[in-house]
Amino acid sequence: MPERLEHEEALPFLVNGTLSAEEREALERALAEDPALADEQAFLAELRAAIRDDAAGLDPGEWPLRRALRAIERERRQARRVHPVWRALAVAASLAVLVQAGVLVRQTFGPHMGARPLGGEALRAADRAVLQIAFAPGVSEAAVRALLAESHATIVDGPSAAGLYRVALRDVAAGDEAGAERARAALAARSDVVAHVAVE
Amino acid sequence: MTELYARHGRRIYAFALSRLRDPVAASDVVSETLVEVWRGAGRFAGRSRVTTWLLGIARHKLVDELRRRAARAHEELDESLPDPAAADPGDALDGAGARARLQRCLERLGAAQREAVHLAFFEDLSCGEIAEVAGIPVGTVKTRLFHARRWLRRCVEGGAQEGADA
Repeated sequence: MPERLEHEEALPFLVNGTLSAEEREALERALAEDPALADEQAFLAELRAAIRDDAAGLDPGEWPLRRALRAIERERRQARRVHPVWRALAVAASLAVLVQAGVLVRQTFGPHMGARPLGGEALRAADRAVLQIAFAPGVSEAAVRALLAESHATIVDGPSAAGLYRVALRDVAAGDEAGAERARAALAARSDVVAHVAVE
Repeated sequence: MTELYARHGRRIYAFALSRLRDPVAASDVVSETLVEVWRGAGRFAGRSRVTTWLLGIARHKLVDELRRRAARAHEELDESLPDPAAADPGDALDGAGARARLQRCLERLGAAQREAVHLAFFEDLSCGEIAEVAGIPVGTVKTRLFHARRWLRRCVEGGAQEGADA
């Protein structure tokens, strides 16, 4: 392989600092003699900075951990049930819970809770701040509807496999971090209806 | 588990989001990764860093998610790159405009290249570690990063030129 190509392929690892001392010294010598190669290095450094800036505000919140802990506890409980009869009963019970959950979700967030704002006008979620919400188990549709109306919020997506809904805030523009955080805190305070809420 | 999540949750989420572009699905991948880690904690042999091991598990979950989305299965296997000249008109040539342009080009980068770029520049993994996480040869890692760099450069400069001409 031509030496210039080898140098180009090694550049990302000079920029992210994972080359060995020997590789780094050889590449730095090449960079000192090759302005075009140095220009590529500068581009990669800018690329790295852009990627890190882009991801700086990412926060998945507590929901993934809580969901994982619930799944782990479920598996632990199942593992303790060693007798075949109990195992069969557990499977049947799990299926019943799933069916029941499906019915509840359908009843609670059926077609009448679609992605339309309560005002009736189509909402452009891309322009609005969005929260991710899991509602408390067993909460009534009326309680959810009242809270959404009070919060000027609209369900725009969901539920995901984890039971999360995406909720757009009609009074908070996308990018208004302070406004989204205020709304999040207000919803988080309603633990009678909301099990989890995070700014997307 | 809580400590593991505090240390690595954001990292797994960022990795999943870089591929899925869907915060809710990325959250699901994080949960599934944590459960898989719990199931296989005894299997961590210490031959690699914890980060590499975790991202490898997360990648399996990502692939599962992409396979579940039949329409996106094509993207998972796709090594091709879109035409950088087809990018939308460029931003002003100041620093903020150039950065925004670069972000948009990154979003259009092919899935395989985007994954390699994320692991190289967000995770700062070595070439060998990226190969381990992605399950590909070291030579393929270098090739993906090489083509990603060239494509991104053409995308950014093409847009800038269009912006300058406008």
